[in-house]
Amino acid sequence: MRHFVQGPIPRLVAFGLILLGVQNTVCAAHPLFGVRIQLPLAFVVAAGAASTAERGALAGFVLGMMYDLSSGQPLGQTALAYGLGGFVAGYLSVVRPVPRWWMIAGFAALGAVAGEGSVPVLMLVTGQEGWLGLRMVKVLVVVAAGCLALLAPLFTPARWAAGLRRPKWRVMPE
Amino acid sequence: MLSSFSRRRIAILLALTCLLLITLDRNDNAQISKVRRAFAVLLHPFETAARVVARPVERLWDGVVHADDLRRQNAELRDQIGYQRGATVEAVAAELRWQELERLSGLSLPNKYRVRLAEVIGDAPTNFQNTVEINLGANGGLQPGMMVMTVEGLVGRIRTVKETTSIVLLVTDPDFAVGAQALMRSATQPGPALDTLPPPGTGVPGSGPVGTGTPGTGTPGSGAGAPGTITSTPGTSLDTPSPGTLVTMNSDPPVPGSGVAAVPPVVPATAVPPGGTAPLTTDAPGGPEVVRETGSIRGQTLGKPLRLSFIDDTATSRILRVGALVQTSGGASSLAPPNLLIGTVSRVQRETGGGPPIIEVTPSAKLTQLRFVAVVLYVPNPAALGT
Repeated sequence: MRHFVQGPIPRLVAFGLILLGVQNTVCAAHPLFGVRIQLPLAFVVAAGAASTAERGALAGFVLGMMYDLSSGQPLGQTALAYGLGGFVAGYLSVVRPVPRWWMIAGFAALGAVAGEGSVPVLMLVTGQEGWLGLRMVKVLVVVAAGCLALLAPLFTPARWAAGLRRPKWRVMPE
Repeated sequence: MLSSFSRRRIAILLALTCLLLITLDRNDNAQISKVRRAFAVLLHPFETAARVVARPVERLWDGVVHADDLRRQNAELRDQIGYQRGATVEAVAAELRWQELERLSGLSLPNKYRVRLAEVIGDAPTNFQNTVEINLGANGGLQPGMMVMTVEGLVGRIRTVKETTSIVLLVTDPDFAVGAQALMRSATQPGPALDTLPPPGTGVPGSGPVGTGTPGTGTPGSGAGAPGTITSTPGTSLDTPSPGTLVTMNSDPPVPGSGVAAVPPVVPATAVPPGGTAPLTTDAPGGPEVVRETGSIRGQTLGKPLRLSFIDDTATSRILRVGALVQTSGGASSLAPPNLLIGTVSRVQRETGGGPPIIEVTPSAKLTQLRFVAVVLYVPNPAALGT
């Protein structure tokens, strides 16, 4: 139990509540170019990019579940999509253990596109048609840009919420 | 915990969990619905807090970014309000016009005189005429001498007829004069019966249909055309009259097949002596005793009351009271058919020394607010017109 409480899930839930509160009020009321910035997704890709693929997937799963609970979408739908986004964003750690900043940004953008783009696909699977179209390009571009803009401020809290400590480098004795 | 699973296992586990949850939720799982409701309660304070925190920022941002738009929208809305106010005024005016027309279409005349509705389109061009111009002339069958009325009472008579317009001489013009009669209770009858006298043409005892000449023949002194004939200008309806519409008031049901209503009974003009002085006392069965006194009425310019003079002033001065109804008297030498309401006696001033009293009559019609009028298609005797 103590292990669970000190784990990433309670932290993600706490952050998720705050982020969903902002998402459902501010972001919902102020679309950018007709597209709503996805604050939870930005946090998920930040968590993935700041940690690992599995922690990114976990963050996406938790925040996606909360998103589904609040938005009325089928439970698990957004969780699966955001989990994919977090996994993609965190896959950088597999490719490059010590990435450069532009790599982090690139994978975060890829994770945002994967997370947001998979939502209408999953909706199509669950029987909600009509969302796949040319508008998706605009949506993906704006959402990815928003996630990139929010990446810097969310990077540190997302890494903390994902339960990954900053790596400490030590000089190995010869 | 995560470290005990490989990356692939974690991904598969999360995906399978999601698919399971989707399946359960699509099957309307009750537990998921409960969780959803509980989460909504949990999230509500966070949403409220976010809204409270974000509101000042939103307003500040709106003030910076949308100030010009707000000014432009404000100006546009003011313009729209102006237009809408104008439209409202226009609609109210149209409704008032419609109501006035509707009232005029329900004008109650003593006999079955046909009337034509006309709209007042102009006033007198000079300061020394009490006339108005109406939008109906010879094309509408109007002739000089025809009486013009509103629902309230007599307005005047047609003085000049042009092709499409006519000039109406108002009752207040000094040139206007018409035979008149005052209706009042007998001195022996108690009670203020003057206010309760029925309007003309609605069964005043002793005021039955009084015609002069043969109706329907167009002879002088007769109703123009066949009285009782319900006709209308093609394309118009009697239910929704418009200026120029020919309507018959107080018409009986038309005779089947003929299209002509029952012709009103005609009473010789001698029933009312022209300029007669003897009070015509009538007594309807069961009704109040009404005294009639005939004479002539004359205008005294706009703003002043009409002047009524009786031939037998001594007899009148004893019985006439303020409030007595004044109607046209009719007769062969009169311009008007009988029993058209003119006004009420507003002042009776008896001169010392037995001279004729000064009797002033306030016209019932609002002559300064004329919009629609009804022209009674009654052609007076040429002798009365002086032609």
